[in-house]
Amino acid sequence: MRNIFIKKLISEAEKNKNLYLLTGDLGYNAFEPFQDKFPEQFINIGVAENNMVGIGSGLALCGKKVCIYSIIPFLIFRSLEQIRNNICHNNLDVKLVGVGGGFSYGNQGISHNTTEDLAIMRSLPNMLVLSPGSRVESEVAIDAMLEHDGPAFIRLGQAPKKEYLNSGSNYRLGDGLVVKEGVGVSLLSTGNITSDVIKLAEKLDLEGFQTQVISFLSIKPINHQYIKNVARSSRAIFTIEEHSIIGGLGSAVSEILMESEYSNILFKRIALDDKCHKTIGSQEYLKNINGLGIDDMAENIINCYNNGN
Amino acid sequence: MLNKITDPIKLEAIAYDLRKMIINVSYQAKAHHIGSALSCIDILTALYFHTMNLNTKNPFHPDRDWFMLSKGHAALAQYVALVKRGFFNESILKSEFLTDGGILGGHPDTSIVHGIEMSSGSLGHGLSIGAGVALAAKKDNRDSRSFILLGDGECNEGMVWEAAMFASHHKLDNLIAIVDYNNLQGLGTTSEILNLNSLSEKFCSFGWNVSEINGNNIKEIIKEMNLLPYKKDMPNMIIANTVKGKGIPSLENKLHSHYEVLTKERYGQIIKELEKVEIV
Repeated sequence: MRNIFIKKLISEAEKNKNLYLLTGDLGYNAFEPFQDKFPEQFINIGVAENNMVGIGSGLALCGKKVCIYSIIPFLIFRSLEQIRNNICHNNLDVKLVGVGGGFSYGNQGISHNTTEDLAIMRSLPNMLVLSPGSRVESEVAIDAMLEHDGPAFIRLGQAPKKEYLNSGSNYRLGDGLVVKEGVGVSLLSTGNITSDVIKLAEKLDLEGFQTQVISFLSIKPINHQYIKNVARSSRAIFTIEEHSIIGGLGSAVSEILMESEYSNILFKRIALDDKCHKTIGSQEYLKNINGLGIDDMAENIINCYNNGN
Repeated sequence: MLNKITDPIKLEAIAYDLRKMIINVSYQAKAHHIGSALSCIDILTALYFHTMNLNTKNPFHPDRDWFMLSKGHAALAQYVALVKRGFFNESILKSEFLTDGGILGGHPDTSIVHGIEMSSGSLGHGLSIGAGVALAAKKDNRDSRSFILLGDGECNEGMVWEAAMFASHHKLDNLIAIVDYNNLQGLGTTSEILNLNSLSEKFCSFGWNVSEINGNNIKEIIKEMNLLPYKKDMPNMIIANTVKGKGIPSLENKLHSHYEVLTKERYGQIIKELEKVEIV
């Protein structure tokens, strides 16, 4: 997804000399084409994320469109106050482009893995929160981000080898994208894990379900009416995300449902437990041991569906 | 850009008026941070009336100089300077400062009145933002300069030093940082709490051109401002040695001047003190 980002950024920079890319000394083997083509619009700030947000804010105050880049925890957790006070409060045109998300850096440990980003960024006023799950979704999300005049956060993970969308055209920010048709059970997913959720749905269908999968590349905004429409046509809704059970897609959807006429719908959030995930391992391994393996999720959903809770 | 005042006597008279406004408005609004505002008011007087290129008729002129009060708790000092300079009316200050639903808080906020370029309140942010503004001016070949006022206690923040490295690396000679070095921070003197030792040497070693002045002496401040930029390709640091609570003997160099809210009795006493003292 990072390569899609840089490709999009290059084509945007060709049209806009006020577009800047700032990095906290990361982006090896990825940012060189941008740097070569637009050396005046590329600034390696050094390993200093707080300053990077400050410099980005100063540039944006002077009318620049600024993308700032790092691994997610360094980018947004270290600089949360700078982001809140300077970027959000002043509605500055600064894009926080984060790599990783969930267990993308699985074997690098807690410092690099990110299981709280969507929750925290979703709570910030004026912030767009984007979490694409495939190449096509990334293209749509990056276009939406660059078009938006204001703060945005995007969580860029690894795109699955097999694309699940033909096209993202006609997508309206805040809606879901139906990536697998079905009736009855709706699986609402975001980001990295969506390609797994499609496999999960196929597995459930073998058990007699007709599962639809809807991917949310935008967690904020999220279209309330769209969620209610999904609820109207579903017997059960499950949200699935490689993120803490607190504050991400599951929370966003449940907040909408609980205040709607669909508050009695069978609903469950499938996400990571609220704990420190200290175990290291590959992304697959960590998903598996944390209840996000396809088999575990299928069992979880079937039990919940059969027991009505 | 509007006319600038170069006569130090006229500037001193302005600083005196601003001190009086600070006291009056603080009393009326039950504000604290009086000492912080008084310590930097001579610097703000020099910046707003002598040094900076500003245009109250066109406050967003692209070539204007840019100011950020990184030590946001001295907001009242900036508000009174902006009023006196004609950015907004004094009646707004009286009706809006620290009032319910008012637009002028204890820390400056952007877009609400003209002249406040950036919100502040959390210490340590200003130098980075100012460096970004200075960099944008360089990139756009604009003449505008970026002035940032920091507190001495604020220099405890790591982000100040990230910005200090950045500014010299990127040769931001249009960035002017001024430290209001009044030697007092939250709970004591800077040497007691977290010793800055030689702040001047620190910034020198970070690649800044540093000067040290008496930050309550207008003549000295404007003389220094006339020398800017000190050297091509180097950011400028002015360490302004000041007295917290300057101008009011019972507040001078007193920690409580950061916290005291004026009673009627104290207000009367302080106004008398101000009227007796000649500021130099």
